[in-house]
Amino acid sequence: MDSGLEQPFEADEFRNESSLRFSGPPLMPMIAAGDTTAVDRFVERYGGFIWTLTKKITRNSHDAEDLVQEIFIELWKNAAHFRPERGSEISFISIIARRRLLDRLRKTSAQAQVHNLHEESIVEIPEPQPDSLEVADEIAKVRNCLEQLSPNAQGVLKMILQEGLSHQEVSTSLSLPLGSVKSFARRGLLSLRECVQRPFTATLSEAGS
Amino acid sequence: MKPTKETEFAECLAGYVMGDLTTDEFKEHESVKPSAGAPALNDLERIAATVSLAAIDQIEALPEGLRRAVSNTGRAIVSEVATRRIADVVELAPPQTARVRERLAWIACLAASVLAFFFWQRSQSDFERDAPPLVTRDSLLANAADLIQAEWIEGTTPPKNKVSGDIIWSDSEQSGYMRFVGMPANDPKVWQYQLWILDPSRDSKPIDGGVFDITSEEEAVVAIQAKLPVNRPTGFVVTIEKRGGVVVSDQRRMPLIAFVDPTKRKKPVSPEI
Repeated sequence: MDSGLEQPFEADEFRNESSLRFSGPPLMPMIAAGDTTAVDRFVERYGGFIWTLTKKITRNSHDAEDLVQEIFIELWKNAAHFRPERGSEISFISIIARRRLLDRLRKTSAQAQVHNLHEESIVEIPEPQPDSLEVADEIAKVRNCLEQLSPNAQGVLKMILQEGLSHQEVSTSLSLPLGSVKSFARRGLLSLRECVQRPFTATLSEAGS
Repeated sequence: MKPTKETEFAECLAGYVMGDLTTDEFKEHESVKPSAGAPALNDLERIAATVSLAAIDQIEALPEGLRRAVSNTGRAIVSEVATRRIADVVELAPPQTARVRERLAWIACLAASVLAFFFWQRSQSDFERDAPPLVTRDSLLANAADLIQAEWIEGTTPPKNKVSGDIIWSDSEQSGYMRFVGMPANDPKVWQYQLWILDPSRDSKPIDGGVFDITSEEEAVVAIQAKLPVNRPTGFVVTIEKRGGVVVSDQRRMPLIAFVDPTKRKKPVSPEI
């Protein structure tokens, strides 16, 4: 299985994000206002993205179909929680997609004790960053920060968040104890957060050095 | 160096976002008051989501059947939102209130019924009632005082071709029929269609409306075989199941649904004194 560990990001990847640039005004506020004409436009604009993301993180078309429907229902129900001034629709969608995926994992996981903090499922977009970034820029920054993590942390995060592998699968694939996988994942995510919150230029400079 | 409570708390939040936080861990740290610099759950969720986004370089089109299904459900749910808003307004307009409210109630019912069916997990009763319908479709259409009629709309996994038709039902006769035009024929040795009747006045569990076969895409009329008495149905759902049908549907394949518009429901005629 390809862990992605030996595949550093190429510079070209930073320019290859046109597919994640969505034009037009946000549709969530229209949906929150009960405008049914915005539904088809929303599905047209983001349906492919949600499908692609979901397939990627479930690795199974059948599960992805169910999950896509759950994500859309969650989006319709939570449209009023979207605040355009706080972040992009695509971030909002991505967060909901991950929450639904985690909810599903919690229900089906052998770890019956996995805790759910989102019983009420209220979605809030984070407060804006000092210099609010476009999605593509944010992705570029996250990629850049990922590269600065240790190979183990980088590999674990990619395998869980990008390839949809379970912790157990990562443990087997990387020959690491399960506890180490959890530590690399958690600490890696916290390190990413610290890195992303630093000014963009400082991050680039560090990467350069 | 021993990690501080705050560090452990931050790691718990990260664990939640990564999907591995256990309830025991949560309980151990829930009393910790995070400092101003502690990570917010939303920040971590956003970053995790962005890492997932970073792996996407090519967007694949949403499958057509799935697109139609999410659009249909979306319109029903968003209509219900509009319903609530309009309902606030019509409170101020008495002359139209009754009619608008009836309509709005139907829209709300439609959305609620879709959701109720999506999340239905309860088991069916073992009660069986396989008696054949007592009246023909034509007779029911002509004579039933409380007849309800609803058009089929696409469910979550609609047939590739457009299917039309309707369903009729009479509470007093406990009889009804489905009519399909363009419905794909099934292979009765492998799989069959099954009807479910949504009747919230009776129970939150859908009532098994019987297993049936379609032999051609030409017009087909099928009698409903409700396994329990039906009081006041609000909707009907056709699912695809293994041969013989199921007691509890996993709802994975739901080609058609129909909702009852209460404004079009015939009122029973009171007997003359």
